[in-house]
Amino acid sequence: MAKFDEGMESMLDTYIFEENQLLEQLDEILMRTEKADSILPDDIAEIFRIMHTIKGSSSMMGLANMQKLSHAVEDLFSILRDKPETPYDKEILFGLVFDASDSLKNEIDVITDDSAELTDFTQQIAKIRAYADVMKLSTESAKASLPKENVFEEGESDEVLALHVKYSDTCFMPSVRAMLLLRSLGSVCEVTRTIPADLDADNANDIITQNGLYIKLICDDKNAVQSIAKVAMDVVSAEWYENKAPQAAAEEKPAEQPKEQEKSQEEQRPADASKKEQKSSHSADKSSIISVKLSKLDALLDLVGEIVITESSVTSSPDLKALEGSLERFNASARNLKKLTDELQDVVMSIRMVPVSNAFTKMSRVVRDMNQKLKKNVELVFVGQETEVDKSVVDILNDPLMHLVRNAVDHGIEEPDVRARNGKTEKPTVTLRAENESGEVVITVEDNGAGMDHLKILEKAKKKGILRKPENEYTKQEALSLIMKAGFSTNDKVTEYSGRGVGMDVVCQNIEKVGGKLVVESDLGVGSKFIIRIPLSLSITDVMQLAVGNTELSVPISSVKEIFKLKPETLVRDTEGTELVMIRNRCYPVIRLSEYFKIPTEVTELTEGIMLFCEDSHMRACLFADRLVGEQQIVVKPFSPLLTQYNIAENGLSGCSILADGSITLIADVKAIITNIFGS
Amino acid sequence: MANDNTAERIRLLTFFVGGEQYCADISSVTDIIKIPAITYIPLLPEYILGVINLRGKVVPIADLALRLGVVGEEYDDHSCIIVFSVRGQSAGLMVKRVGDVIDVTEQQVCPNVNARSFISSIVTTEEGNFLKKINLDEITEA
Repeated sequence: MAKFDEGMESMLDTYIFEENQLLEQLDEILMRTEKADSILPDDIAEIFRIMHTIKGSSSMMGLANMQKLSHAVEDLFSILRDKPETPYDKEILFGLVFDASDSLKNEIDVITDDSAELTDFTQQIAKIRAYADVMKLSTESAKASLPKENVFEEGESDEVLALHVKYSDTCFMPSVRAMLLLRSLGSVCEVTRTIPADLDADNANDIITQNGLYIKLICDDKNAVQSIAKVAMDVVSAEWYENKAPQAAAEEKPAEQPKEQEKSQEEQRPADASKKEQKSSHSADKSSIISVKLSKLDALLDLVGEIVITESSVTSSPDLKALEGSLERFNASARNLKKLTDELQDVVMSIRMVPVSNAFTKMSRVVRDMNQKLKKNVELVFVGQETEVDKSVVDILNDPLMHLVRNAVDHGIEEPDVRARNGKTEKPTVTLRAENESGEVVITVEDNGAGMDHLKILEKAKKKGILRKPENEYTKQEALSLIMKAGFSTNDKVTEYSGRGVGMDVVCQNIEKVGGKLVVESDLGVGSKFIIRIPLSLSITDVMQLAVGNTELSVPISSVKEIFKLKPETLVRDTEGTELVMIRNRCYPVIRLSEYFKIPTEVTELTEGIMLFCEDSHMRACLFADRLVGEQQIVVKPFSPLLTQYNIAENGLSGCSILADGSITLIADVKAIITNIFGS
Repeated sequence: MANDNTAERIRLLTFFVGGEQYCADISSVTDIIKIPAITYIPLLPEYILGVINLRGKVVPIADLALRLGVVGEEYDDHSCIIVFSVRGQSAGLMVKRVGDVIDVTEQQVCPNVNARSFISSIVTTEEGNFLKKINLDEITEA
């Protein structure tokens, strides 16, 4: 461990969360401003603020590498902020910031991954600093005269030696070289001070190039130190600087000067306070959102459930019977309490739901980056991004979406010239679609690209030896799903983004892990469609409650098309005795739930009970139950693994839910039931 | 034996099913509750009685007697459900009676040779009775 300061571990979660949020904000600003002609002062200030915050919290956590990187970017934008007229190359600037943002994001993962080492950003920082210098030079025609150095301070111990290192004129970013040198010297000596003191300072490079670098150190082996310094990169000479008589005390201590300069810069910042104030009101929306651990929400949800149950057990307590007649005020308060607890429950249930747009918007960044590299000019379209799903579902979606979108842009969409040749005039588009469908979230990634040739896939799968049955027995659908097998990749070229044949099977596994499904549809020349279905594990579903014997079952309303009482004349029996109902001149099979679930019931006449005409994934049937109980909004809970081992889901029960009165209802899966009886 | 180091002691909860005494590691037991309303789940083995709502959690309940092959166990007001939690999964076992909490030493526990059995080991009490120790892992896994 020891990646960050000990004792800060408790802060880690908060830190990571904040950092992620800031970086997302940064991306958002970048995406927005990249399309505009110039960066508005507000945005520059905002980027500056984000980087400043990251720098601060990273240094608090003791993550020096992240701190330095964000510092570099911060400086870059402080130039722009202080001198908005500074000319800059937008492409380079954005490239640098995007890279930095990516590196920081990666680093956040690294922090939590015990097996990974912290990344060294020195190169990247050097690049940013170099560009910052370029920007600065373009405004300052004449370089400010550099401060003279006073190597030895008065009253300094004789033990302290000074090594004077000169770097070659061609050296790019000598301050970074100096930092590296200091690090390697760390093993043989103790560095007390350097001149310039702050190698991070903006003018450090200039000072070192002009005056060389003085390293004040205490050591036992002078030669070892010198030999290390001499072989360091770009070093021209490394000589011991003799301690001469201190110069006139009246002279300012120049070594402090760079620091002071920085300080004065720091002082400028409050001057911008009024500007910042304005901006903070504009970002007030963001700060009104707080973040909570999911586990706390789970606990809250459970607790509210208990309160509702307890409330009803209090208000309907048998002890109240004895007081009947004198309970007017009690009843009034009880009604109020009920109203409040109901409201509370609604609110808590809605807290966990977030729009999928959270997962979608991240993809625009992916597509942007790929458009830049691949020049395919793909448009990303969102449909239904306001669809609300459980927070955990959004988290699960991130990786698979990333893979699918990358695949779509990289393999799916053809090269522009190929498109033109094939007469495709419409803009290359990748569509992300989200919708709720019968207890599932359905996320579709669709492209209007080349599509996949299922025969080619079969052929390739045969070569790779992953066919499970004779080639000619594969349907188109089955052939297409072969691309989700491990070790399959249709693209012969491995590109930066895809083609290694590990992507799709990992995507598939990730989705299956949470009980979801991935289906591929594709038409050659028209495009491909990847459909992810994830159960709404904890999300709210509307259900119709049915009574079958002594058991209550719930059917998702989304799969119920019609509810009716059977008219005897619409009933038909075929020769096998299957009961069929005619609805608008089409016949549909009847499934008696009591028979299917082997629940004894007294309602055996089809005309006595209730019929539900259900449709799920193009499968239709009429379910027959004793009677309707009502309609409910519920939070679906998956069955415990102790029960799922008995194929409970395959048998047609997808989960259960605790109702407001504390009773449990079972949720029937129409599709599974129909499939079980009639096959798919 | 009474002065043995307490660290080696194992605390067990005993209970009665089909006239015989069984026990289980008490550290896994989270609740002992009266039999509440049980929601029946169709199409499951007979010994799975259904699920209950335990403080907002849906907990599956098994009839231990049926699971052990004892037919016709009758439950009354003193019967109860022992809820235990293994690896984060809760499950309840309906038993005729809950007995006692006893401390035994490792020497008193003799592992069952048949490792996959529902009975993980036989415990000899200080009075010389034999207690069958239920393998809770087996219930949550199998």
